[in-house]
Amino acid sequence: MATDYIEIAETKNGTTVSRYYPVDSVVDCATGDSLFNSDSQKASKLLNSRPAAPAGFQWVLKDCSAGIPQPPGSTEGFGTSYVQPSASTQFMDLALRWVLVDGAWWGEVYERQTSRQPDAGNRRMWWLDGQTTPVYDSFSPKLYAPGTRLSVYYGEGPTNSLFGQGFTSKAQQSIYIGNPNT
Amino acid sequence: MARIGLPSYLDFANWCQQGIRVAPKFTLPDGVKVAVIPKHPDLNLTDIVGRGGVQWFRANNVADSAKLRWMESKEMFPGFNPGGERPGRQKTPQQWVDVANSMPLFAAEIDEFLEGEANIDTQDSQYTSFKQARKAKYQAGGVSDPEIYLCYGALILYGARGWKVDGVYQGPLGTYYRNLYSSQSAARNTMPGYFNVHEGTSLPNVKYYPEGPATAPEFYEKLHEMEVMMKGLNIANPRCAYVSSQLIESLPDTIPDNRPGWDTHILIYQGRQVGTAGKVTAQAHPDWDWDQQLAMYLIIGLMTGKRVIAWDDTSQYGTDPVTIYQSQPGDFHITYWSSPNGTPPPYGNPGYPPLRLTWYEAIYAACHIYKQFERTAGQNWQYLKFRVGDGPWIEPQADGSDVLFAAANSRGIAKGRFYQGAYDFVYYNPSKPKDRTGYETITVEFSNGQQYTRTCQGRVVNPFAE
Repeated sequence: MATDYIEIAETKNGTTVSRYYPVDSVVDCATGDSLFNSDSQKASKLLNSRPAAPAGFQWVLKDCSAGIPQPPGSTEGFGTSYVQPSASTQFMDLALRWVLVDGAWWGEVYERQTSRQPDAGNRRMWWLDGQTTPVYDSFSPKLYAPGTRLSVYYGEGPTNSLFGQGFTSKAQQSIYIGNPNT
Repeated sequence: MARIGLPSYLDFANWCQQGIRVAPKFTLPDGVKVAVIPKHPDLNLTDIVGRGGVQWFRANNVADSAKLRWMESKEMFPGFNPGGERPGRQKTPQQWVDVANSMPLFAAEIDEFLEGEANIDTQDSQYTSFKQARKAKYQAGGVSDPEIYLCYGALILYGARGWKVDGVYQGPLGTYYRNLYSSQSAARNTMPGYFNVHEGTSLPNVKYYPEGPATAPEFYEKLHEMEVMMKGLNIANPRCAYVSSQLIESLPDTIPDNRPGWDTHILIYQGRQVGTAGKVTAQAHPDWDWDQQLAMYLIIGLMTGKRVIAWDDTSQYGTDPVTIYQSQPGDFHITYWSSPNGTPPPYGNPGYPPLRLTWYEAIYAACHIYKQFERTAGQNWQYLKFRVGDGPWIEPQADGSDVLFAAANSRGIAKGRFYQGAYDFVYYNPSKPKDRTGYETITVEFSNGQQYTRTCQGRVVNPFAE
């Protein structure tokens, strides 16, 4: 069965960012019901259940069950060199999704929802592409053009029983955001 | 004016050396020379010469005419004294001269005589005698201007780390730094230990091994160091090697301002899934950003110093990705194997690299880009007038000190040259991130008034040619 999608577009300062979600991932926050039990319930119910758009933003909802713009198919390099210090948990895992901005595809690197919370007294840290100051505690999504290479270093500390080592552990993840249609 | 892309053979999923095996053969413009280390035993050491424009190789079995001879003190005088010491320091200058005369001529040579328990300093008579003997041997062999480099990262060489003078922060626009561009004598005063003793015998070098997290802004410091060394050189064919590797000494901590000593060298985990058999993880120094490496090899090494020397060990690795490398005693990294189904570690002989060798491709990519500048060969690279978007024009400094102002204002640099209708320029801003917020619309203007406007990504080198 073909997957249905909705497009949620945010427009601010003349820039439109579109994200596409499979319909089965959208749930009415108030009732917990799936918003897409039937075709007739689609966009109108979702629009009614959404919170007000943040200041400066405008929600635009489209029923894309007939098809959506196809994102670049390749994310080569992403995941193949991913380092996970512990095999038992999704530890500060970064992921990639495709976002359409003013008609062009960008790779959005974001923190997975399954990323674990740090132990008491610990902080999480990410350090990207040579920036001077690391990112602490939570990772805000960032948009990168296809073809961008990233070195992401991440760690949790200063004490981390997860590794049984009693000190900060760090790992490195190389991300190559693949070019479209390669 | 078209943007110059990366070599088509480049594959970031492949951890092996690539350009050394498949790049086309060519000569780099402006007499630029580059040295790398072959890391795979199956490489044909004759066939690699000239691929990607790289002419020099640190390898025992490569022909002397293509060899970068990297010298260590302990191998000049092998063995140990009765007290268990390496004998190098106890040898007389004449004994060092004898060793110098015993070696053939090479394409290029550099040493690390300051390192290790047998170290000698660049001011020691053993050192100066050795270097002078090597120079004389080249000249006797018909090589009047040999490629002899001073000990990499020698302490007598100029350094601007942290923009500090005698430990006191001056900032890039401090009087001390600005004066260095005022005259050649000012530049020479930064390192009299080199210019008074070694100039004419050994060539200088700028070594870069990132010691901490601030790798991006250190571009400004290293370019400045290279410019000062090149300005100070009073020889017919000035050149200065940019010597660097892929490793970072240490990473930022997870708690700000809390940097225990073990953050250095305890390091980081890098892993690779080996099919369905399991995963190999190496505990090692992290490698720093590939695009920053490319920018520094291109702008500092090729465009400014005209020489690049890769700094690495000589470990050898296989090319089969379903094998893994087995750590050897003394390795600077350690590998671990984990398998969900108990599969034994698939060691190769030798195994696949435990860390990416892709950093070598940053050197080959820099050469690939520099080759595209061939039509303007022979012209000097100049800082260009440029503007960001509709912002004010940034005029080049008359004394060439633009990098100091770029560092002070956390902005990019634009360098270009033109000749008979051909225009080349490079824009690089290490202060802007790679993400969508770091893009700039740059308009450059050459000295003849020719303008080009292009979109440039932050922390990525943006080279153009027309």
